[in-house]
Amino acid sequence: MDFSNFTEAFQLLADPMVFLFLICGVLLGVIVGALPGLSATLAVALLIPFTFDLSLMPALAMLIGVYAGAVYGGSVPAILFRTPGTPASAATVFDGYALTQKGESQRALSVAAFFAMVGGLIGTVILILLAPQIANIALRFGPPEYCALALFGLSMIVAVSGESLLKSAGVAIFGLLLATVGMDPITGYPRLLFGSVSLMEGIPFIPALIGLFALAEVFRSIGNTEQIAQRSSGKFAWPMRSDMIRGSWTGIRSGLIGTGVGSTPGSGSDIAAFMAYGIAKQRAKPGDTFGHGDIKGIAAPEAAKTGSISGSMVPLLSLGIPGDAVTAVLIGAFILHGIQPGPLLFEQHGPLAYSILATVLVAHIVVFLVAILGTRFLVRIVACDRKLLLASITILALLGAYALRNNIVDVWVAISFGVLGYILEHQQYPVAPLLLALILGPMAEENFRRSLILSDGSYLVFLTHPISAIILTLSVLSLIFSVIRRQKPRNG
Amino acid sequence: MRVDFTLSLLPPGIFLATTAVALWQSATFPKAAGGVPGPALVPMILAVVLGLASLALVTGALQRRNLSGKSENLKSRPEDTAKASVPWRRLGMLLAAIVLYLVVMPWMGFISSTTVFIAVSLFCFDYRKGIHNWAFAILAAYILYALFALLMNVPLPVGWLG
Repeated sequence: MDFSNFTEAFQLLADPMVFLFLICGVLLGVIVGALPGLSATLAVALLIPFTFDLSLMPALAMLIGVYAGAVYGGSVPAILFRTPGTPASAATVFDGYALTQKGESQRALSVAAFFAMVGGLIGTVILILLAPQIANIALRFGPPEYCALALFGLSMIVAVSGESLLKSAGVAIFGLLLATVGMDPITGYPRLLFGSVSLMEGIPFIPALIGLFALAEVFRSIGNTEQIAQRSSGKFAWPMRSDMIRGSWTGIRSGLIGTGVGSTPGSGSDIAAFMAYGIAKQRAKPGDTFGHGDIKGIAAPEAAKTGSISGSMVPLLSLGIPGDAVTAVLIGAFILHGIQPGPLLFEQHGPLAYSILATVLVAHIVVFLVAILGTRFLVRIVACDRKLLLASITILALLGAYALRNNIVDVWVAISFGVLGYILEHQQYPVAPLLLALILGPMAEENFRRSLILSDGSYLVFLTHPISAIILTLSVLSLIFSVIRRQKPRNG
Repeated sequence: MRVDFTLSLLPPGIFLATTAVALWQSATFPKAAGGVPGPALVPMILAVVLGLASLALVTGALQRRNLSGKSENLKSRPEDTAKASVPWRRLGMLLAAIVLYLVVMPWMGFISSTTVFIAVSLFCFDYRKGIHNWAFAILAAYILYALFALLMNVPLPVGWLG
């Protein structure tokens, strides 16, 4: 690595205008991310036209700021109202909302902000040091590996969700079956549509997510509208030292997982967050209280999802391949501003390439500072009358589902999933595997079918490819360990 | 007890119904050609596995009912009490209000229908402060309109009443 490039990069970043636009981007991103139904992709896409008249660095700083801000912003409603603002924040719900229910929303928000920064910094440092090497590994992934990766993500969440493996697996398979609704990924044949053109692209997962978490919670709370008193320090919500220490290893490990997953094209921060949460829960020690407000349960998804932001920059900058939907939009913005991401970027425009990396690094720190300064104001929202809050969440959830595509069918999808989520939770079925199956299902099926086509219909293709075989073995092992883990308390 | 048992069959019942629909529909999809799997392959496999899992879940529920039926002096568990305390009437009212809201919004208009919906939903959540309900509902409807329609250009129906 050429350090002179990096010094020049920081000089580019020292421009006050760059810093100002970065802060503006972060603030905007946090607000958009916090609104259910509005994703980081949408935030970046909406902002691109406003950056046309800006010079290169302020424009890039603002776009990266929006991206980082929106990814963190999604966790705010996830923690306060059990309504993930973005799919990546769904895994934060489990322990973040549990802390809010205990009156410790300020603590949850500050811990989330801290570990989001930890994951982001880890990811960016790795990005700076190892971008070419990670990109090489990611390039070796073919259809069998992607299929195995999707199944691994799903097996992790099945392994750690709920008390019954059968219930958890049943929900996951149900989700995978629902994920086949829409056009067949290989032939384009319409499947299980029942005449609805709106479902041609499949069941939209953001309305499904809004229904499963926000509306189901509203239905569940209708019989319990008691106010939950929130503890507040009244000062800046700096995370407690004990919480930082407790979640440190989980945060570092999850940041690494997030970076690895994010650098694999096609795997976004949602998969990273669920995978890190699953691994953290599987490695739980006696005394850990995952699902009941454990700090590690917030540290894992938060660090992983911001780690994946940096990870997704690896294929974007070094190969010119977008890692996920947001970076696909970002790549368009880069080209609009005259930058062609790819292998030549670091060679021909070293300082510029490293200034982008430095911007990502600073963006994570700015998001943390904005979050810490804003947390005590956010907590006041939860202190409002709970009945007013529930009515507001209901209407916001319905509008959030509609606003995504301006399609009323999406609202019906949200309501259906709300009722479904309520029924499942009422009968102690975990809903997380359903959501992850909807996200991973299309990726799994497309690559499963492509693998079979490439191997002339031989199912052995998944075992003859070493990376795919290793990932599948890990999936099976995670399920076996989960069975053993579940049997231990019964025997003990 | 009987209500609890019936409710416990609801998720596997939904799974089984989905299995039946998926199998029935998948049978009409084009078949595999030249060794290349067709669009029915994955839904078929998943439907069969889901069907088996659902049957296992139903069997489990039946076994639990038989076991609890045999034990005398059966004391209700805390979660059973929680299940029993579901406010079905208010839940039904809220769901009906949501459905009605979506149906009338296109011709009534966003602001008016949203105002009425928020006021009714507050009533469902047991917030009954008369004028406060309506003041909050009107304010919230206008804020939401400004946020979604004016700021984010989401097309919202104007209808007869606005």
